[in-house]
Amino acid sequence: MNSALRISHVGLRGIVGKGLTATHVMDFAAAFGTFLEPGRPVVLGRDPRLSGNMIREGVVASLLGCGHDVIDLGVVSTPVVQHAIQRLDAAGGIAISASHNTIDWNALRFFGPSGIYLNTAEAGELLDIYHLRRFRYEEWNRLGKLKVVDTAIDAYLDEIARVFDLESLRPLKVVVDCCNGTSALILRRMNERFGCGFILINERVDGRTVAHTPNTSASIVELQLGPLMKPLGADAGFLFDMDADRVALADEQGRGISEELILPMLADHLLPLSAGKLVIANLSSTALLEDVVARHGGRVLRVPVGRQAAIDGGGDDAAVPVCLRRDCEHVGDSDDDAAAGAICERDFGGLSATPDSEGRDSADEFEYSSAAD
Amino acid sequence: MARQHLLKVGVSGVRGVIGGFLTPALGASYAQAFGTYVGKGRVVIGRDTRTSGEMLTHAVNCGLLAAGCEVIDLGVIPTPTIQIYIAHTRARGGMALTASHNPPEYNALKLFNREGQFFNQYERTELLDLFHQSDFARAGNDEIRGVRQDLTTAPALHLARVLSKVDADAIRRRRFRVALDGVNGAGSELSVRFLQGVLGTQLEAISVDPTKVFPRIAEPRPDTLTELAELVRRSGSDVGFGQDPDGDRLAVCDETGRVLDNDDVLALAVHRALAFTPGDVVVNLTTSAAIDDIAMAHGRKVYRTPVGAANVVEMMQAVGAAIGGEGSSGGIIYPAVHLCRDSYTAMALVLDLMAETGKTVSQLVAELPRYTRLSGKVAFEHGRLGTLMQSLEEGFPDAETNRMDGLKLSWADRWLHVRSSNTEPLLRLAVEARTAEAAQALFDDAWRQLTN
Repeated sequence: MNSALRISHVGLRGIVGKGLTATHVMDFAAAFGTFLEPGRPVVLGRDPRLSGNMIREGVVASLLGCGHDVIDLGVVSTPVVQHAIQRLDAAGGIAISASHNTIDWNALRFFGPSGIYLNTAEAGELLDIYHLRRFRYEEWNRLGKLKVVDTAIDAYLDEIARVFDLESLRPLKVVVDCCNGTSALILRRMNERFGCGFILINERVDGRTVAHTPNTSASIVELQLGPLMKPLGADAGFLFDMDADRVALADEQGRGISEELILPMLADHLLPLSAGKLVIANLSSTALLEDVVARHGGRVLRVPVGRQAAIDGGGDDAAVPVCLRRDCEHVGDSDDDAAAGAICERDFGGLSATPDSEGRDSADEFEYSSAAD
Repeated sequence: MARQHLLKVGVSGVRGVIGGFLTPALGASYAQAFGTYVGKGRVVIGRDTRTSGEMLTHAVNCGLLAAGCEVIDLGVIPTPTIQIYIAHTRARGGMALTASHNPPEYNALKLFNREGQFFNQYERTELLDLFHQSDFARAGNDEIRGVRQDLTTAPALHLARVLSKVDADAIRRRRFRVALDGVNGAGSELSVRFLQGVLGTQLEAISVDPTKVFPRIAEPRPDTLTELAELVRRSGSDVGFGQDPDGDRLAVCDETGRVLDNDDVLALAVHRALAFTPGDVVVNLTTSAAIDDIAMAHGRKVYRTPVGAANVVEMMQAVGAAIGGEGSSGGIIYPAVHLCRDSYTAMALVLDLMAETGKTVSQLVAELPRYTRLSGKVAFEHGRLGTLMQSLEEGFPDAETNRMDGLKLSWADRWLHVRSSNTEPLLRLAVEARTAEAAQALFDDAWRQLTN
């Protein structure tokens, strides 16, 4: 099969040209423009895929046409978009990124006013508006305006720097595989601003070529980072996907650390620091989590596999991602935030992300995307 | 009751009211059809100052990028400037995002081929078929290009072209006092730069803020330019110029504050251009016979075409014309600059004529062959058009008939032209004669026949 398109509660995703077209993009963005409350701007960002140039234009046109001002952050990570939504008091946001899929894919991902993915009910409403195709286009004198902002990565790092002591990372030798994605832009800036000294590989960001599939599986970590760790004497290795919302780890021996283990590691580190003691994970992730959480007097809530279920389960005042969010409310919410996740591995600060549900979701989606190729 | 044309997707492009009619998705689809038709490569776009221009720009960018084109965005810019840039940079084609003289709630896409000219009828029909088939080129990730902005090259190029065809030094030496009404359109900044900066006139300008809405009816006509006429009188200007939102049409006001009939503006430009340009003249059927007199005085021929700038341009290209245009709409096409309707060329030719002759605008107009023109609109019952035309023709058995576009009946000293509107069940009647009495008599006669 050489064409692919998926329209679902998770949004719009497909191979650009062969499945995902300009019309899909514009209609979905118009549906989102119709779904959102009028009056506040919509934040937009994209990963470096070249197709993002086309999709960005269509999304901007539809949102302006529905009367929303648009704040375009340019090529940034998905978490940077999520952070900016709260900081800029926006009605919501769209990240143009197919994340860990191959380069020929792209996708629209939708966020509400707190920078969190739409929950299942909201996403269902959006989908209904899309299928109904009765969009709320405004008249000629009530259209939105576009504002281009190129400082979003710095604003995001400002927020992270308020929670974590980034300069204390200097003694660590860290290797990062950027998968030719947006993490390169953020990590270079961290090196410049905080003297972090991250060693970056696959850091060229041209949107056309990628060194390897931007998938955060343990096998790719071992292929890419494994051979480098010991020769470089690195303390840790990280591998990001294209839009830097997922991260995978390599230890100092060059072994990939299973995504299964990331959530227990973070829970063990963060629960003592958090007011909340509830951890949300999917049914399919390791039982080690229960052992770790019990040690800190917490509780695990199991939800179905998929990011959507974790978001619905999160509610407003539960869950480790949520209790962590409470700790760092001033940095803004973000339910998956790889750059921050990467830091707290070593810095033991407080903001977390990449819940295991994401890891499993990632694996599922990757199988489907490779099958579609 | 006449049906309102809120959206028209046809051979001349897409035009419609912003909101539920001309939607971003429709703009993108049409642009994707355009990109498919002209092929992967550079496509130039620009827009007038309408509030919907920004939105429509992004929609068109989306469609063009999706078809694998690279977009060169010239920003807010007059339509003729886009056309000249397309031809000069050998782009695949281009689009102007402008509804020209239509009200502000409208917008439209004007389409240009690689020569920077309006699509001819074959190109228009093929593109429309392609649009309806929806079988567009769809670029994959590695074929998708980007949008590049170029805000400076095109205006400089356009002004240089215009200046090379007139005696700019003679114009500068005269230090003319000029009044300008830019309708807050795409030409607002360029016109000030051209008249004041380049031609050294003492400029009094109104409505030259491209961030504001149109302050008057957008079409430049005697009845819409009262503010300009007042400015000419108040400032003691030698001449007044009124533009439309995309800077292709021009109206002219003489030093007494009288806005000229657009046919007279064309006549002045033809008179000036023929003095130093070889070739014949092309105008539409409704344009004044004054053009024939002027052409004859220069020993040139006049070709007539159906109404519509595209028709005039096609004929001009076929006969290698020196100059052409459409009297009623204020459009002057001078191929030595570019084969397109251009208010800057028109301004330059008028100023050049003033500088060369040392005469005032009213003196120059007084020297033109004198005709009286009258026009009106008649509503007709749908289905009666054929009968009406036939009985009109039979009512004037001694006239020479031309059925190229509606019906034109000509005598040695007068003519009448009736054609139906493209957008409403209306007949447009125009007459012209040597004297006011003869014109009125012919008008009344025709009117009676059309309305009884």
